[in-house]
Amino acid sequence: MKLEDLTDTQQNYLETVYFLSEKYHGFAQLVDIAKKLNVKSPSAIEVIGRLKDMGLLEQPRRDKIILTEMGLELAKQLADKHNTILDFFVNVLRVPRALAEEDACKVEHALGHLTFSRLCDFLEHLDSESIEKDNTVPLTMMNRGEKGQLKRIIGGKGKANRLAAMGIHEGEFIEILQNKRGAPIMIKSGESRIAIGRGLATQIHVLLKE
Amino acid sequence: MTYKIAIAGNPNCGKTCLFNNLTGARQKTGNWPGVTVEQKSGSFSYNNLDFEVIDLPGTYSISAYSIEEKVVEKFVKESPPDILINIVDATNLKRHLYFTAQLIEIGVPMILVLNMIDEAEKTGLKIDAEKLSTMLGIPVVKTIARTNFGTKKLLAEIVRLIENPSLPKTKIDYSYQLEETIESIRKSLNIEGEIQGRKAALAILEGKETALKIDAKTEDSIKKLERKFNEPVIDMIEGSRYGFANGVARMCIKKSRAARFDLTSKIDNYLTHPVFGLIIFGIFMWITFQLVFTIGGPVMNLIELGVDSVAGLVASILPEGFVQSLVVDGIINGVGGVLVFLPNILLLFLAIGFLEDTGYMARAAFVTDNIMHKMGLHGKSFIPMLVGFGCTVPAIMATKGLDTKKQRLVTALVTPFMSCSARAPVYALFISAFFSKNQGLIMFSIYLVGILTAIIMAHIIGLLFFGKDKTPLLMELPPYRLPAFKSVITLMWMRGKMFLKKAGTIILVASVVSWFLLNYPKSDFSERPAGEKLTPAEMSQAQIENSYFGKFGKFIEPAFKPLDFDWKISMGLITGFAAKEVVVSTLGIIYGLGETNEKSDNLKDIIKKEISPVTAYSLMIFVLLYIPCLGVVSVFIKEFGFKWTSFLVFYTTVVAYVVALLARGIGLLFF
Repeated sequence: MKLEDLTDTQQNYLETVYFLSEKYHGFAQLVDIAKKLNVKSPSAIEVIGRLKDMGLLEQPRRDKIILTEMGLELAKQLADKHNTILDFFVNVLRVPRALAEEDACKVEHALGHLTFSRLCDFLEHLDSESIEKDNTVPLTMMNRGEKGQLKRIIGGKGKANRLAAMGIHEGEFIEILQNKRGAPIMIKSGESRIAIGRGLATQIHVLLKE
Repeated sequence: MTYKIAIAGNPNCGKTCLFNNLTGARQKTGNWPGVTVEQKSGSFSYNNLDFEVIDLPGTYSISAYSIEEKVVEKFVKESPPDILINIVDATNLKRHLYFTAQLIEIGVPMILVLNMIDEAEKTGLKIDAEKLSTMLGIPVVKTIARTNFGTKKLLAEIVRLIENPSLPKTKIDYSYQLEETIESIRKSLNIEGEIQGRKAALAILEGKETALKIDAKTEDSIKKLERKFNEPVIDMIEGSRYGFANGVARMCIKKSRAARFDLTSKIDNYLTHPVFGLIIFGIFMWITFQLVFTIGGPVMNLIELGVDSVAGLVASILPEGFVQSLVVDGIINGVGGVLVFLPNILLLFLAIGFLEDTGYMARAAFVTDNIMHKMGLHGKSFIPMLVGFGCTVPAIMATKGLDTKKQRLVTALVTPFMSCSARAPVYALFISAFFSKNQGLIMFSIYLVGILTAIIMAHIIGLLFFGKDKTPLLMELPPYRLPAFKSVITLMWMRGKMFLKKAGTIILVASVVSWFLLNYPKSDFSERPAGEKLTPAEMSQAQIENSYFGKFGKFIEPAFKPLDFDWKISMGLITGFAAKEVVVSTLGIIYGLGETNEKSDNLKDIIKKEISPVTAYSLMIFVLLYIPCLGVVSVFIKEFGFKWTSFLVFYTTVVAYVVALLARGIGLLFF
């Protein structure tokens, strides 16, 4: 039995039972499962029944649902996937955590085995190289309200000088006022408010202030 | 003798307001030679001294990366002023001081104007003007340009500096190795005056001075310096300037209490929100449009009435004949044709001035940047295009507000495709005659074709003439401020004056010429036998048919064969060059109905007999897109010159022809 053999819904249920089991002494209750997945009890009963048939869940008592060994195995795989993807979204792509959680839940079912393993490889590679060294991020990947110090501007001298004349040069502190998808970025540097097109903003690297 | 004063500073620090305070109404605008950057100059007298003032374009530095900076650089190099006034924004002093550092090194008598000190105080900043003056080595004057505070002190300082000229007493400190190099270059140049020599040496090191050459030994030491510090020399120089500016700022600015509530950022949360901001933008645009056209409309009517009564008066005084016709129909009507645009233009620039001064314009550009870029245009292109729906003449003038030449040109070249209100009578006539069942739909389709054509042409023209525009947006959003009333009014006034003087003369001349071509050669009706007296309508019809214009219409008739426009329609189109509404009245005369308008049922009946519905639709498309009216051509010549105006005339006609043909083809296929 592989994860791919399960439907998205079945995977979600498995993940939920795993999550609830971890929280509440090794088992999950029907009402909690239904609540967490936002479904009605009858629907939940049906899916759980199917999973029982597949040998992934057991229900020794009416309100005690536990994972079988195989179920646990698969659930762990799923959680692993979820966390890796979440990690990628939050730490590499700098998506705010709440949004990242939502999207990770959607994406984790869609990623096949090969794609996922490549993602893991990529993250390992990243960990060992540039992120540790530098810790700077381009302006485009900062979120509203975040502050940092400008470390580097890549690209021609012309760009750097234009920015510098407007008060944006290495060493200056920058605050992000707005960063919405597709729109120019608005920053505050000292007392100046400046709008920067994304193409240019991506070449401005900032060291985040904790 | 007249002393020359130049005012330099960053954009958005009240420079224009200061300029207005000094020169009052004695200003004129033009362009800097060879570029499409506006040049403002003015004059004033004080203490029996005469001054000429030049308002340099607002720039962040003199590094020649933008065309404005090139203009400033050229100016200070070739014609340095007697006094240089550097105006800075006290609320953001540190950044402004960088430019000040560059200006100090030009080596002319200089005064620092510390503007907006009221706002600085409100944000809890205390600036030690005396210390600032000592550290910069130049006099410092505190001002609030908006209320004219500090102007007298400034004038006194100017006079003092004229009577006792002195150069900035500060030398910016570069690292000592760099200083050595600067000194050795300066000595080898043999230029008089330490400051001038130093200036030249720095120019060479910055790579700006190509005329003077340095010897091999100096070049060698420069390379050694660069290797040692692992930095190009120009970076070292600029770094030192920053250090200087930072140092001065740190010593002279004290924050006396916590920064006040940041109103600007709070407002920006709404005004620059991707959805909300766009809605607010729409509202502001709607208000602008209403102001310009709904209020301007009645004023225009008053002007037309006034012109008509003057014409009537003059007609009753002068005897009939050539002179009366020339004066009344040619000149007075021509003048009326000019004046009629004035209310719209004044109101438009009143609105624009207000939006700019408050700081909202930058937000508008920010919020529409995305959409406009997809259309091949720029955020600020929105206003001219919107105004173009009312009248294209002020719309073209409004393109002045755009930043680069490419943006101005491309926007101006496609704005005429926004169907202006003068074309509406033409649509009204044909739509009610041929498409009475689907009036709204057909009308909408015409406006839509206009907009689509504008978008497509904006892309094509942009790529064809200017290549891929890869300059990303980099724009300052100034803090929100109350507009300076006087500044806004002055701007409005200057634009109106400029329009009257330049475009006005062209329109007037062209009106007289067009009057002549329509009325000559004069048809002689006196020889007709008594029984065949013609009605006035028939006389007008014959007159127009035999005039130069009429002959021309018949001459180009073959060219319009594919569109099924006969010479009568062509004539209507030709007269539409003077003003689009004239198309309808011309058609009325040609069809023998005398004076009519688009509501005339007679005219509609005749037209239904003359042309087919498909022809009518392609005719409307042609009217939508072809050569804009005289008024537009005149302002275009003034703004962009003859070359681009001829291109405008040519390409609009070609596009109109092609699209009309397309429309005809589709029409014949399906209807």
